[in-house]
Amino acid sequence: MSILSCLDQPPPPPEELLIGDGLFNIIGAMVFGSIALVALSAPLIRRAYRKHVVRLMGLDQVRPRPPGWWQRNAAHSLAAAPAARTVGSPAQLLEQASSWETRVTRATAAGWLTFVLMAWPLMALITPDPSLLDQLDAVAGAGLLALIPMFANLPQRWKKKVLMVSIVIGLVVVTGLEVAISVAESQQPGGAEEEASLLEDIAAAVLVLGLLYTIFHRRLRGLVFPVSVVITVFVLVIVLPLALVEQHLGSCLSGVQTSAADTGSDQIRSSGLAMIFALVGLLGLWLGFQAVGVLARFVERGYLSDLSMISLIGLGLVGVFLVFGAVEDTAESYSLWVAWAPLLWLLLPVIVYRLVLGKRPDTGPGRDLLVLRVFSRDKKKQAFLDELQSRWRYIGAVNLAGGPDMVDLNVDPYECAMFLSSQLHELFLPQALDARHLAARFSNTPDHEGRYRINEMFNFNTAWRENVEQLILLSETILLDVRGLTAEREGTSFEISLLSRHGLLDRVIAVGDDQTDWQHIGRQMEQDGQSLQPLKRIEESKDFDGLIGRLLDIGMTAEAT
Amino acid sequence: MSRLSLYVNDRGQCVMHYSGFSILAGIALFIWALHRRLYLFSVVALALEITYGALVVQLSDNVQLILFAVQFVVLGSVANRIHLYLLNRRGWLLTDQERAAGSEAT
Repeated sequence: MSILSCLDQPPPPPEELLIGDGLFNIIGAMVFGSIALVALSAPLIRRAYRKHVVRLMGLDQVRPRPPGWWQRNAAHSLAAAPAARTVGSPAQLLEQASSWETRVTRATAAGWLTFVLMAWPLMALITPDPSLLDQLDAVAGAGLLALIPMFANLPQRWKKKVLMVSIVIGLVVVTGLEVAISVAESQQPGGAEEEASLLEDIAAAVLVLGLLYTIFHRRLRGLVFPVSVVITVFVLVIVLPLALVEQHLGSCLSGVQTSAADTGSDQIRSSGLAMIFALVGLLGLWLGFQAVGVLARFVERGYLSDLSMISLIGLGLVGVFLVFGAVEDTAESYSLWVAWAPLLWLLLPVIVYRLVLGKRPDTGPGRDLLVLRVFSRDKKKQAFLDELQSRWRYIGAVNLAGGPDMVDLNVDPYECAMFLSSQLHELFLPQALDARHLAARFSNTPDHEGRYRINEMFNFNTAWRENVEQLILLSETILLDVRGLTAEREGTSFEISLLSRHGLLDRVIAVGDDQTDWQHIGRQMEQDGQSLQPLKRIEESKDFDGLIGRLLDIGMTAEAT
Repeated sequence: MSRLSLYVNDRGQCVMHYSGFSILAGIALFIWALHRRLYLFSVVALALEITYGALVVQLSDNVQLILFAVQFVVLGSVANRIHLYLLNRRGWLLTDQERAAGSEAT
């Protein structure tokens, strides 16, 4: 018997097909399950990432890189910045930053509203004969679930409290509508089933909200989102072609399981199918990585910021959950084109967002801020840095030495894609660079939304001292975060020594706390002929406007001299 | 712990190499090969693993378990050596290496 004779045999009945029945629900469930798995394993992924960064930071160069590596690596560097630089007094710059923040807030709200209103016509197309209450429920559900992605793109200062209040209001509205639908339908035949459906719907909404809240967590989202994109593409690449060809393959797919009782041709067929599945899976993974790569390039070229990209992917996931969840179990009545509905759903909000944003801010390089810090995973310390960098990036780029502590805050899609594809080492500098080449690696122009980049400089053990020195010499505004600094922290002590040796303490504001060993810092400075006295010192506080104003002042003084 | 090294070729491509035992290679050689960017090796390993699996499935459970243990130990032990052999044979040069003492923190 030929191994292809299975093609001539009738296919199994629909209920026995692998995925033919309830296709969209299965895809929705698979994507949901996979992302839930990613969210659960995110702390492990983060740990692996951090461990890998630490290992790479410990590498010593034993031979210089060939010219070919530098040429390849130059391809990643960003376009040359225009020469003109943002000018204005600190007060003017703060006002400009505030207006850019407002602009992003307004555009985000408009995009969210468009996404919510789009639920009305889309649900009318997908759900057969929806009632007015069903339509309102779809709109309210979309509004509730899209809240979390939207808030990721808003300024940091007030979003947590407002988000919580908005979620509670949204849950009350959705529950009210679900109850109204349930009451209306209970008056029709088969009403008892509706009560169970009401509880299921509310439980599903809470579950999806919980998942969204987890994957948008500040410390997880940098890693979770790129992995989610890879998994979603992987699932779609495996499931959609299978759904298309399944009914045309006769009984070939029914013998995937191999057993000792199979004939030789069955075994060859099963092995062949396993090979095909594995290759399609590899193709799915490859396409998933390509999708992340495309998104990363969008961010790199400034079409999107890292924050709005996260919001966009989040809205896409909400679209997948809502569309695939709304499609009834009778999948045969739907075209496979329904799978594209979430993408279409995203299109109009993106257009509205860009229209409301308006023209790209007509400005040159901003006022860069160099942050020198004690590597720390303390949540309070990280929250301070996060708040500062989220505000400063409307004024200029934030430059930092990459380290394991930043895995919690600053993993962008490009870095994550590099980690997942075992290429993170390509981001590390193996040897010292001169000032020109080092400066070229940093982006200092804003993206289309008016946000400057957070630039991280990763170094191998044999390169960090020289490169940090160059970076200090290039910077006019330096925040020295010495919270928790003790004599044991040799890296930060080395940086203080560099600042003293080069006489650059007038460009620095030092932020300390009750653990900071100021005496050690003073001794360090005295060794290099300086004293602690002229160093501008502040204690950690929530007065970010005041801190940013002072940083801008010293930056302008440094520029003038 | 395995030691991490980086190798570079003339075209500027850079790959990681770990010395020592590889758990991933012991479990799924083709995924390990993909991770090391040995694409042809990965496809060959996949074909071999599937063929091997189709043959082994006909044996008793105990024999299958023993064979899996042998496969895990053998593949896990030799995979990184094969990788190093292939890198050297293709002219890749060692450029960066992990120190035994570990990294410095600031």
